[in-house]
Amino acid sequence: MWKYVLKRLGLAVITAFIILSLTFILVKLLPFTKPAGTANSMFNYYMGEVHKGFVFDFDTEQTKYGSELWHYLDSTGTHHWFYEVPVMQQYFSWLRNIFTKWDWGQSVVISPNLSATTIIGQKLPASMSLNIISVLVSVPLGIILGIIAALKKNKPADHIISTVVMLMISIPSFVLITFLLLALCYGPGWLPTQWPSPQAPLSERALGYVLPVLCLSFGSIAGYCRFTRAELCEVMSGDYLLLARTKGLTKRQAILRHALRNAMVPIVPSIIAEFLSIMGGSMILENLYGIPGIGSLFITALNRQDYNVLFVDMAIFTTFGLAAGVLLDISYGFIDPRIRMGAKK
Amino acid sequence: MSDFKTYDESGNLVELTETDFNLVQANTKIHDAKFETKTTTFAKDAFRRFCKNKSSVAGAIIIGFLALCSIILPFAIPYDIEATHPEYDLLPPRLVGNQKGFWDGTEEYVNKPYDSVNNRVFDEKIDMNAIVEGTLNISKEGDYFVYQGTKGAYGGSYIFSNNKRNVDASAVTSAENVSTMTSYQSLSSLTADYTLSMVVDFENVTDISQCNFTGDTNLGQYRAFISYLSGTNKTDVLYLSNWMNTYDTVSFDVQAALVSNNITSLNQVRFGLELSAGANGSLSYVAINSIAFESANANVQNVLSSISISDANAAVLMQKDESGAYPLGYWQVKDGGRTVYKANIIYSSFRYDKYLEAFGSIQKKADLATLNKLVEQGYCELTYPTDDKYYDSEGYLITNVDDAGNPLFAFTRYEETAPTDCPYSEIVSIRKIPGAFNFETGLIEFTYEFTLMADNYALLGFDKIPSFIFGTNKDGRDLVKLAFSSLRTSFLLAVVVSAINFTIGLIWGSTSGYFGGNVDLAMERITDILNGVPFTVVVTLCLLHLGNNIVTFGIALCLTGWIGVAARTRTQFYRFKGREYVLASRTLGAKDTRLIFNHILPNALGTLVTSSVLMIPGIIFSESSLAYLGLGLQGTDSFGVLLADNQQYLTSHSALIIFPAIVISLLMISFNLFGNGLRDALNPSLKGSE
Repeated sequence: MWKYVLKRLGLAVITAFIILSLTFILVKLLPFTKPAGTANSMFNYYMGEVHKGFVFDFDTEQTKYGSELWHYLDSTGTHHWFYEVPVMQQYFSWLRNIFTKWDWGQSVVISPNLSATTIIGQKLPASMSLNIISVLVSVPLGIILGIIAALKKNKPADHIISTVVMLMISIPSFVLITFLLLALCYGPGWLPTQWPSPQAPLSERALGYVLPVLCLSFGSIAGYCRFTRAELCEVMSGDYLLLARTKGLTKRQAILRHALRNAMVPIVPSIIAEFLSIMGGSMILENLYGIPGIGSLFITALNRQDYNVLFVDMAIFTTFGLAAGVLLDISYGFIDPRIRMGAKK
Repeated sequence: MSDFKTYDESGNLVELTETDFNLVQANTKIHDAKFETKTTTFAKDAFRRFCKNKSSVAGAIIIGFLALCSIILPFAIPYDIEATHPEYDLLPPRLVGNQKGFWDGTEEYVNKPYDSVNNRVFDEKIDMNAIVEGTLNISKEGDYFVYQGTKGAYGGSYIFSNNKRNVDASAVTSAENVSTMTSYQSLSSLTADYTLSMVVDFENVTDISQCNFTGDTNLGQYRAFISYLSGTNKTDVLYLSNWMNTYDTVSFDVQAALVSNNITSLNQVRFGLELSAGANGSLSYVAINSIAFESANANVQNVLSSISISDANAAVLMQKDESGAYPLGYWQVKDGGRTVYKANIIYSSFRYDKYLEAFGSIQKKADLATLNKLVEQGYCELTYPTDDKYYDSEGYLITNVDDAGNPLFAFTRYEETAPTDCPYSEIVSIRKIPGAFNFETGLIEFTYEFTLMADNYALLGFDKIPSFIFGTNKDGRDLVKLAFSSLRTSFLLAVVVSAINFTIGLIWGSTSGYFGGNVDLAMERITDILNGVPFTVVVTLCLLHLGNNIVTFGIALCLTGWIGVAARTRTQFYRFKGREYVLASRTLGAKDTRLIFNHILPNALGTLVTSSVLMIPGIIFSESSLAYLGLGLQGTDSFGVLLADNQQYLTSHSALIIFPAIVISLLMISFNLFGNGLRDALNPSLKGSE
C-alpha cells in the first residue's frame, strides 16, 4: 500500500509538471501581451522580460525573429528593438527562473510589475476563508441529514430529504446564485449585493459571507447527504450489525458503535479531497459576487491576458486537483480492501 | 432387494412379485413443463422496471417535452428572431391583455415625479396613453429627497428657499418656507435673495475640514454659511465668508471657523450659499460646478463624497403652480441629463402598459403618394386643402376650417378596413412643402407631408398587439422562441459530444481497467495530464486558437470530456474483473474479448449509459456557465449565450433571466430523475426483481 501511495505521489508531481509545461507552451503560442503604461514603465517591463529570457533586445532592426514587439530610443540614445524569443527557448528560461529563483514572473496588466505569487497571496485568503467556512457548515449538516435519511429509510422524512437533495444537486450554481441575489439582496436588501470592501463595517462584512457560503455549501450538503445515506444504508444491512443487535446492543448503540464508524471510513477521506478541490474557489460565485479570490482572479487574468498571473493561479488549481485525486484514489483502498487500485488483471 | 420387505396389516410377510407393480406413466409422454411467465429480453425488462419508477418517468416526459418544444416552437412561433427590433425591446411578459396586473405586459411604476404644470409624468419616455386607466395616483406630499441616479448629482437634501436666512431645519418642511420656486424663465425678474443649502449630517466638528465651492457664471453675489442646531434647540448661522462674487474654486475652512467660534458639537448641520440678487436685480440661474466636502477622517470620506455635488451646471428653480402644489425642480448636469433634486416633489404611481407604449397609437409622417395609394386601394378617404392661403410661410396648415366654417381636411379609414392594410386613422397636421420647379408647367411643384395617428403594431407588421409570453430581449426578440431555438443548438451539441465522449471513454477505460498494471498506470497518467489542465483553460485556448464557434467548442468538450467516462469504466472494470464468474469463465478458457464484452461490460453498462446520458445536461450546464462568465461562446444562439446576454438585466428585467434559468433547472432536475431510474433499470443484478 505504501509503495502504491509513494508511487502515486511521485507521479502526481510529474503530472503537474507536464500539465504546467503544456499549458505554458499553449498559452505562449497566443499573441504577446503588450503592457500598458508610460514609455518608461514599458521600457522597464521589456528589459525585465529580456533579463528573464522571454524577449530579445537588439540595437538594430531584425528580420529573422518575426514582427517586432516594440521599438524604443532610450535617454542615452541607444535604440532597442524588442523581439519575442522562440517559444521553446522561453519555456526553458521559464523553468530556469522557477527552479533557480522561484520567479513565476510579474503581472503585466492587473497590477503591473507586482510578482504573480504576491498577487495570488493577496487573493488566497478570501477564497480560503470562504471555503473553510462552507466546509464547516456543509459537512455536519450533510452528514446529519444523510444519517436521518438512512435511519428513516423509505419514510416521509427520507423522501423529503432525498427530494430536496435532488433539487440541490440539479439546480445549476449560477442559477442558484442569481435567484439568491434576487431573493435576498436586490429585492428586500437583507444582504449586500456585492462582496463588501475590507473597509466596510464588520456587520456588513459578516453579512457578505452569507450568500457565498450558502451557494458553496448548497451542493456539498447534498453530496454528503447522498453519500452518507448510501453508505449507512449499505452498512445497516450488514450481517455484523444483525450480530450486534442479537448480542443485546440497543439500536442506538449498534448504530453509533458499529454502523456509523464503518460508514465514516469512506466519508472522511472524501471530505479532505472535497476540501482540496473546492479550495480553488468557485469561479462563477467569485465572479458574480465580486469576491476578490483566486477564482475571479483567474477570469480577470484570462480576460486581460495577464498570463504570468494566470499560470500561478492555474498551478494552484492543478496542484489542488491532483492532490484531491491522489487522496481519493488512496481512499478507495479504505472503502473496500477488496478493490486494489493498480492491481493487475 | 433383499432387505426390502413388506408386511400386511396383521404383520405377516407379503411376498411381492413383478406382477404386483404397474407403471404409473406407462402411456403418457413427458415433456419439460412450459414456464407460465412470459419470456422477456433485457431491454423489455429494463423498460418495465423503468416504468415502475414514477419520478423517472416524469423526468423522461419533461425532457421529451422540452426536446419537442425546442424542435417545434422555433417553427411554430411566428415572431422574428433574426433581425433586431429596437421598437419593442425589453418588453415584460404578457400572456393576457386584460391590464389586470398579472402577466399582462404591464409594469408598476411607483414614486415617479409628476409634472403638475403640464399634467404628465415627468419623464419624456413615458407615454401618457399607455398608462392603464384609473391607476394613476398622484400624491400631494413629496418626499424630502429624490435620487434619480443620473450622473452628476448625488444624495443629500437640497433645499431652496427665498427666505433669506431660512435655515431652520424644522421649518423647511412647511410649505411657506420651501416655497416660491421661481422658474427658469422668470428668474430674470428676481429681486429677492435666495439661499441654497444642503444637509451635511455630522456630529463631530472634525468630520468636515473644508468645503470647496466652484461656480461657473459670474451672476450676483453670494456668501457661504453653515447652520446648525445649537444647544437651546435654536438654529444658529455661522457665515464662512463675506458677500463675494468669485466663482472659481473657493475653499471655506469649515473646521477652523467652527473651532474659532467655540462650537464643539454639531447637530442638523447644513452648508449653504446665500445668494443675492445681482446689481441689476437679476439672477438668471444658480450656476454651480461643484460643492465638495473634505475630511481628514477616513471614516466619513465616503459619506462626504456621496453628498458632494459635481458636474452640475444649473439648478433650475420652478414656480409654485396654480393649485398650490410644488412642481419639479431640476438639477441639470453638464451632459444634458436632468436629475430631480427638490424637496417637495409630487409623486405619481401607476401601472404602465409597455405593450401599448410599443404598439399603440403613434404619430407618423406620411407623404401624399403613400396615402393616395391607400385611397386607390379603397381603404380610406382623404381630403386636404391645396390653396396657399391656408398655409403659413413655413408651410404648416394654419386653420382647421375654411372661410365658410367647413372642415378643411378629413381622413377616414373605413370600418371594414383592417389596420394591417391601412395603419393610419386620423390626421394631426399637414404641411405643404415647395419642391422643384416644373419647367413644363412653369409652376413650383408642391409636396405634402401629413402627420397622422397610426396603429404602431400594424406599421411593425403585426395583425394585432402581439403577446410575448416571456417578453422580449434587448434586441426585441421573443424570449420563448429564442430560448428554445438556443436550447435546440445546445441539445444537439450535447448529444453529439456525449456520443463521441462515450465511445472514446469506453474504449480507453475498458482497456486501462481490464489490463491493469503498467498499461493502466501509463494510460492513467495520460488522462491525469489531460484532466489536470483546467477545463476553462482548454476551452479558452481552443476558442482563441481555432475561433469562437460551436464546432470549436464541441472539440474542446471532446478533448477532455471522455475522461470522466473512461475513469468510470475503469472503476467498473476493476470492480467486476475480480469476480468469481469472470474467474470461472477465464478458467474455462474464455478469451479477453469474451470476458470484456460478455461478462464485464454488461454489468458495467448501466452505470456507464446513465453517466453518458447525464453528460448531456452536464454539457449544456458547462456551456451555460462558461458563457455566463464571459469565457465561452459568443454570438451564436446557444443557451449559455442567451443567459449571458440577459445577465445584465438581472435587476431591471428579471423575467429575462428567470425564464431561461427555470428551463435549465427543469432540464437538470429531469435529467437527474431520469438518470436515477435509468441506472436502476439497466442494472443487471436487479433483473426480474420487483
